[in-house]
Amino acid sequence: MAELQAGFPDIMRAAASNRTRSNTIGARSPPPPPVVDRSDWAARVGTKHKEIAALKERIYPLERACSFAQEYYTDEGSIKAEKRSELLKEDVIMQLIMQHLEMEGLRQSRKELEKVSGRRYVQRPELTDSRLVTLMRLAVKDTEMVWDHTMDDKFTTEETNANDLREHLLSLDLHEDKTQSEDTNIWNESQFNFVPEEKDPNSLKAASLNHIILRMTDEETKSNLRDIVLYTYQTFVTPEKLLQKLIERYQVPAKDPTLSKRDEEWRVQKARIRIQVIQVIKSWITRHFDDFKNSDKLMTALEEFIKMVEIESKNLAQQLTRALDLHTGVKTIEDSSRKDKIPEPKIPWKTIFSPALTIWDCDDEEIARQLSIIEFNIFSSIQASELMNQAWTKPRLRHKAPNIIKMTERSNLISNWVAFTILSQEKIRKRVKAVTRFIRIAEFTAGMNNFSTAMAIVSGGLGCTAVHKLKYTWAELPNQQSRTFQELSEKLTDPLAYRNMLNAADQPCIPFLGLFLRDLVYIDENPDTIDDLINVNKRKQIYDIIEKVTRYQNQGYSFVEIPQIAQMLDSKRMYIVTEEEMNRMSDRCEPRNADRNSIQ
Amino acid sequence: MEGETEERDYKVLVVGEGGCGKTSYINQYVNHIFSKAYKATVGVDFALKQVQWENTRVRLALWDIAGQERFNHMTRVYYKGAHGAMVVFDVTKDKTFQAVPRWKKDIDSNLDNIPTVLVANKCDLLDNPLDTETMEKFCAQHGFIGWYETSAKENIRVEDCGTFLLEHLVKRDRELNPGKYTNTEKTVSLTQASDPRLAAKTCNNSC
Repeated sequence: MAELQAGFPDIMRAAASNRTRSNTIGARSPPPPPVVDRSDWAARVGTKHKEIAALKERIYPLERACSFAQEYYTDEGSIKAEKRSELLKEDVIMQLIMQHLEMEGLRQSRKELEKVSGRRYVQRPELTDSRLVTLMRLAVKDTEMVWDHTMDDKFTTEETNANDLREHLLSLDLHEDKTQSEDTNIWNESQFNFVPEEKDPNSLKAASLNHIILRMTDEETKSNLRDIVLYTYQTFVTPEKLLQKLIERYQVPAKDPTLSKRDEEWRVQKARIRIQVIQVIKSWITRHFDDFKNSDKLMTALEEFIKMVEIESKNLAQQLTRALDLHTGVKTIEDSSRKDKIPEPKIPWKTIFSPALTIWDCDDEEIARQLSIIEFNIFSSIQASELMNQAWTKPRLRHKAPNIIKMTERSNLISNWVAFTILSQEKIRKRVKAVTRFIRIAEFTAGMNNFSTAMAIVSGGLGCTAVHKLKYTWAELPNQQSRTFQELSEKLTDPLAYRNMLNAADQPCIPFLGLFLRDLVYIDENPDTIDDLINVNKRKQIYDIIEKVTRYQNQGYSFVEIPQIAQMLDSKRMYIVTEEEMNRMSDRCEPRNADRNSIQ
Repeated sequence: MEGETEERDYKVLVVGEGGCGKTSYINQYVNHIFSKAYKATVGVDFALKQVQWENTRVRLALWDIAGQERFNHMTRVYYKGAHGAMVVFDVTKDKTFQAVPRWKKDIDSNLDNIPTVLVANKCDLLDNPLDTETMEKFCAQHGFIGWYETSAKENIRVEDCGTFLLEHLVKRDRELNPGKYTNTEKTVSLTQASDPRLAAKTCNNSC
């Protein structure tokens, strides 16, 4: 992989002296010498062969793991001494490999390995899985977090990154704790660490972590601060720290200036605060269970807290244990079938069971329905956490936004499929028919408020250069179809018209995700902190977008899935062609400057 | 024509890989009006910058595809009717530089030879400046009118780069529309496809 990046560092490292301002290329510049410039060959290879670019991107985490390991290994002092001797013992590794082979039923290979290595395989019949695979899975999970913390992005400073990394390594028991981080107990902080919103003094513009916790466990809080924090806290605090702070709040001290001095009143206040804390943690468990599922440390801390609560109040502890027990982690998508009548599927009975079934045999509306079912399945699996920190734009964070990536890939695939299907019709009559049908399908999807698929067909498929330049095909399109296309195209691609259409749409609805993503990038332009206080307003804006996305996720389509048709529209069955190839196909269909008579 | 002010609207695309700082760059260039005024419920589809150029009042509308880079078809929506472009890359991220030729090609295949400047952003993170010779060769090879090392964060050369592009926009406009330029009639209407109130509002804030 090293060679692939060779071109760039040269430019980066070369220091040009005496230059303070960038120069521009003017007429005075001599013509470039006829040497072959290889400076961007890697980029060119990547553009020409998408699969190489994709492969390179996929290998990137491995590359990073190697360089990280090298970097870390040199600093031996930071790994615990006894851990070092524990790691990487050859015998242990050989045993793991042999056990794996045994589990896979590759006894012959295992015996061969035993012979070659001169090590005897120790049978462990109590193990029912391949330890090697399990350990590797665990290792990947742990290292992913290490990468997260070593990543350079504008949302975390180097310092917080280093702190988070240290904390993670501590949790893996790989790092010795030398520094105790400074932290003010929630009951010791002055109450004035916050700035209220100018227009609404009751809501927070910015505040310290302690103050945020205080406000979200306050009975009188009417704002949606709890939801905002529970959805976005990962942008300013770790889950472990958040729980620790909530526990601090739960431990109401006997004396505090904010609390009553009279014993009876104090008891009432204490009980109230405790109920609020329990309620916050309860909704955290109920609605964001993944946070606990993904962190053993958080789960252990929670269990310990529950034990502590139990001593004083069985009732409160039960609320949390019940929330834990009940939790399934599955979002309940409202079944709209109860309200709407399920529309009768339109099935091409003559060909439906034939292996030669094509989309041309199916009804346009039915295709739109099946496309909408598939699209909704992807859209509804997007998690709130995927929308944080612009993860989808960053190669190193992309694994955190799998469904957003799926959604964009699906969109590109549909565009490609539409264009390819039109361009592969050799006769103009058939191309006109294909264009007509896709306009109708797009019209149906838009009518179902599936703007996501409609956008992919209209803007990406019918609107792409290769299809757009088929002037005779477009000229022979019936007037009505042509008008529909213009209207659809206008409504979807003009941002303002689109927003109006979206606001007026009923559910079920699949919005075009791109616009939300852009909103999130813009919101991120605001600073994370204001005068060392957490920018709460920014998190509120992020939450507003998350709230919108999740609202649309609540109600799905009541269409019946028809497997035979759905399969044809599955991503795996869609063919990918490059843009160059599509342009070539387009030129074959309607060569440049060709007159109408020469076109079939 | 003396004493009269002409008005000109130019649409400028700002493209490049995700995360290379396009939005921050625009935000810096329009003096942070955009992040302050931004309300997700309304949505800003472009950021406006007003510049006085000789006796012409120029309004630059900067279109940003931020967040949507991975939707292939979004570029076509944004490219429509653009007069100039900036291709941004992050000097600390090799990958974003490698993608520059693809973005340039994308612009060229959708638009007819519009002035395009290469923006090497986040230069505050570099110890040494980029190699002039290599960069110039790169620009010549890919048809950029020039390149600037900038930092949106530290506000380094953001304004210079904009002025440089503007100069080329005006020059090209005069070449293409020799008669029209002294005319007060607008050649382009930016607000046509968008809400005029929104554009006016953003503009007032920036003045």
